[in-house]
Amino acid sequence: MLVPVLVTTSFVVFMMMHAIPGDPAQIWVGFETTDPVILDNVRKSLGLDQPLLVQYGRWAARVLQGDLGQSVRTGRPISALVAESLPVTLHLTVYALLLALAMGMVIGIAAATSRRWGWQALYRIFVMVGLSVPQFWLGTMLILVFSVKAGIFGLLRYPLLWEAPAQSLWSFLLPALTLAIPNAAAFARMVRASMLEVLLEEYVRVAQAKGLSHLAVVLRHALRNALLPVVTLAGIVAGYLLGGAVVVEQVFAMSGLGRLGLQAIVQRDYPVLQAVVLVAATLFVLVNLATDLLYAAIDPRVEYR
Amino acid sequence: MRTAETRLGVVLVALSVAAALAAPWISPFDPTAMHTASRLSGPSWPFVLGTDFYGRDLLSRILWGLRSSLAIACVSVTASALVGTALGVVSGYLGGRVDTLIMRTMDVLFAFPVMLLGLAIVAVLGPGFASIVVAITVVYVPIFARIARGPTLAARVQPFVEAARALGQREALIVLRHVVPNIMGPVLVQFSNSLATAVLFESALSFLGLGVRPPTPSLGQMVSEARAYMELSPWAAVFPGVAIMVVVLGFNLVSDALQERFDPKLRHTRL
Repeated sequence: MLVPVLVTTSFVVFMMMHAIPGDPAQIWVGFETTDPVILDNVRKSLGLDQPLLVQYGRWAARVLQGDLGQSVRTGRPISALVAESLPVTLHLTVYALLLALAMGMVIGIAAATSRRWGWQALYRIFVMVGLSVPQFWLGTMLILVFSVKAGIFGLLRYPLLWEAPAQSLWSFLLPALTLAIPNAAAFARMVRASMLEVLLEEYVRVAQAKGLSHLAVVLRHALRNALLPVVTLAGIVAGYLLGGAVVVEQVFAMSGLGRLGLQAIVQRDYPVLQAVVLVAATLFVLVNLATDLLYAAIDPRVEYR
Repeated sequence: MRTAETRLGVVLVALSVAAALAAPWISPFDPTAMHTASRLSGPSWPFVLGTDFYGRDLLSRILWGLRSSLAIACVSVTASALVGTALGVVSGYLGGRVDTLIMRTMDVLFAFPVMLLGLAIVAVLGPGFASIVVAITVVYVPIFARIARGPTLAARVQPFVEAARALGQREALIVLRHVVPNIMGPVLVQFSNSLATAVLFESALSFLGLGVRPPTPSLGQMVSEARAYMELSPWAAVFPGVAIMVVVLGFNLVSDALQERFDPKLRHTRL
């Protein structure tokens, strides 16, 4: 299942990038050169004179060997560019996913199990705001409040976890929060809904009748079953996180995969854009596969052959 | 039904649509006119929400930006609802190879993270009104196709469809008269939900510099411009975002109400 999806995906990416107007050979030599002989030679050396299917075949073969080609702008190998930026994006998205899950679970469970006015109000406001706020604006406001006005966060360096753990967690906090909040709202909603449903089940009532404490019933009996739809949602959310990373990286000036892609769009560096979209789509497909497997692991009723 | 929230949603949607439609008449200034004497002013008279770096009136720019945001959202969501629903209905009703072909194509589109697919499409077509509409439409078509296909599969085997077929009605007529009305509920819910996300999507694209071209005001681009001088005057960054949020909140509340109306089983999932 994985292989055909990746082949189709890569083919779509390839065809899409070739639909971009503008001559890649012209970009390669710069716009001052108009000599048709030079342009022809460049086209030949880049393989642009070959039929599209042949070009795709060559590209796919190289990609499989880990060679993503070269940037038309800087001449640097794209695999190096991806290797530099991918860790930043993974860092950001994993951090955001954990934050979103944590916030969503706490608020969702509390809203489903507590009758306190405070939790209900918090839940309503959190979900309403979270699902309606534009991420780029949320990030901008966080910068305005915590960085420009209060001066708590500097926003220049984003060290990776293995380089400087404490500093890394701190400096990634605002971007990760920005990325997490809308998704946390979606999680909270899903957790609450599925929790409310599960709490009506008979096994929960049996557990209550056994005299187990409220907390034990919720955590041990209800939560596990309520988590199933949440796992499905996590796969979908991973896609939103990857896409949202483009915006958040731009807001916080982080040199991740999304920003690399955006720069490639602006500079018409289409081999780079092609690679970025391919890498992101592959990640997305892999995450979805992982979600399916996780689903089977949690729910014994689901089986994959 | 929590009527207070529903009413709030309806009011917000009505207000923003009215403001967008009336922008040419109610905006106090030309959105592109530069009042150089009062650059970066805070909320004050006559610039109710203040001005930006070039001395352009924020309120006027927000009203016009809202206009283009809503226009893009409405056109693209309507287009994707029509195309997607048609594909979903055909797919579910005919089944077999057609079904496989259509749904596998939709799966390929689903294999891309939404934002990236949109970005890539705008990158291919170049920024501008039409490209954003195409991008959002392409991204949303598979969602509508999936939403429409499920209920079509269910409706196809209903006695009233079989009865119509036994009476010798034309297939196209059966679909229009007996299948389509049965799938309108979920499609409508998705429609209003998609309007909310499309406004967010459009504003994100224009924030990234891939939206409608300046000097046409757009809310996302206003925020991105205002970031450069946020220390001097935060208002230009604050207000456009609030405007987006109000519109999106309105659509979200309305779509929750619709969802409850059409699918009582999903009552828990609303706000």
